[in-house]
Amino acid sequence: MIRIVVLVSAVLSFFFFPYPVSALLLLAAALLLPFAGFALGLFAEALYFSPGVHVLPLWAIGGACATAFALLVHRFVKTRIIE
Amino acid sequence: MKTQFSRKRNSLIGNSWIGPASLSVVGIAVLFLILRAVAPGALAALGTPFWKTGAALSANVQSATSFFGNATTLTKERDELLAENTALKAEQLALQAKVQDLTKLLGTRTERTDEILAAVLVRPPVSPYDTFVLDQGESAGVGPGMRVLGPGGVPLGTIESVTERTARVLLYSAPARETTSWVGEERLALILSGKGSGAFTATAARESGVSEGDFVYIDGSSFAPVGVVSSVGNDPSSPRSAVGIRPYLNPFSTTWVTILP
Repeated sequence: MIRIVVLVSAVLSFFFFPYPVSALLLLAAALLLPFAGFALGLFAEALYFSPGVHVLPLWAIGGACATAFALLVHRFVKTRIIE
Repeated sequence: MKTQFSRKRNSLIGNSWIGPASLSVVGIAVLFLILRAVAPGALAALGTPFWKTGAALSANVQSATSFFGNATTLTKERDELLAENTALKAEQLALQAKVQDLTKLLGTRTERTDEILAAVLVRPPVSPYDTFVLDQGESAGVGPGMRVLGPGGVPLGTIESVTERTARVLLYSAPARETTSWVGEERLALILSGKGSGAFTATAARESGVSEGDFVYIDGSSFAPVGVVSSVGNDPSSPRSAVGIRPYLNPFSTTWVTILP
């Protein structure tokens, strides 16, 4: 349930809240559901990116980084729990 | 005795990250991306109600917080604004008369252009990349490259992309965007470099005479300044000074803009 709430909040934040809040929610969503980070990054690019605004799609890259970070955290935490 | 460890997963950080939920989320996001590429107007139409709700909510929050303001301070502020308004009206009348006299004397080479009025659906800091999303698009005659002016004719940016009913504006202050400009009464040429959130930086020769409070202008039909010099660096080891420029118009509070061809 908390995953859905954070995921929906992150999606809505792209319309309502300043982007630093969206970035925090993206990170929170990624920690709960790692691939949500990348997905939310793609969603932000779909809403706001245009070829002229920046050389790189920063949100997609940031989302991918958040996903990678979350996957590392999951592996680490899981290992610690099992040991 | 061999110790038995629990393999029960934590409810928050289990293995479900690779399950159907993750695939669905990524699938939906990719679908949005494809939709944006194939039919950009459709995604803008989907997002417009949310953007409008967000703009209305932020306006309501602003008016609600002003309710708690100090009544005496507000009354004083209102009186000051009324006095300032009266003075500005008188000044405007004098300037209008002067313009009419000069136009009669010199004639005019400028033709009235068709302006398009548009509401700002999303502005920084909600929109990343220092962009605006406007509620007018191709159907209203908006096209890429058109100039966008704020209240008072303050230059804000140019149209970056257009859909049927919306347009994206890239602000002059977008990070790393460079714009030719001039500063001060000496009309010293500068290259403005965007810093985001309306701010700019530039470099000028130390002896150029740029000082704090000088207005910064850019090319275009508007003669309103784009920014005001807020700081001038004074590093004795460098022949050039770093110039900090704050926006003349706060992009965070801009609600209406004018689009010019």
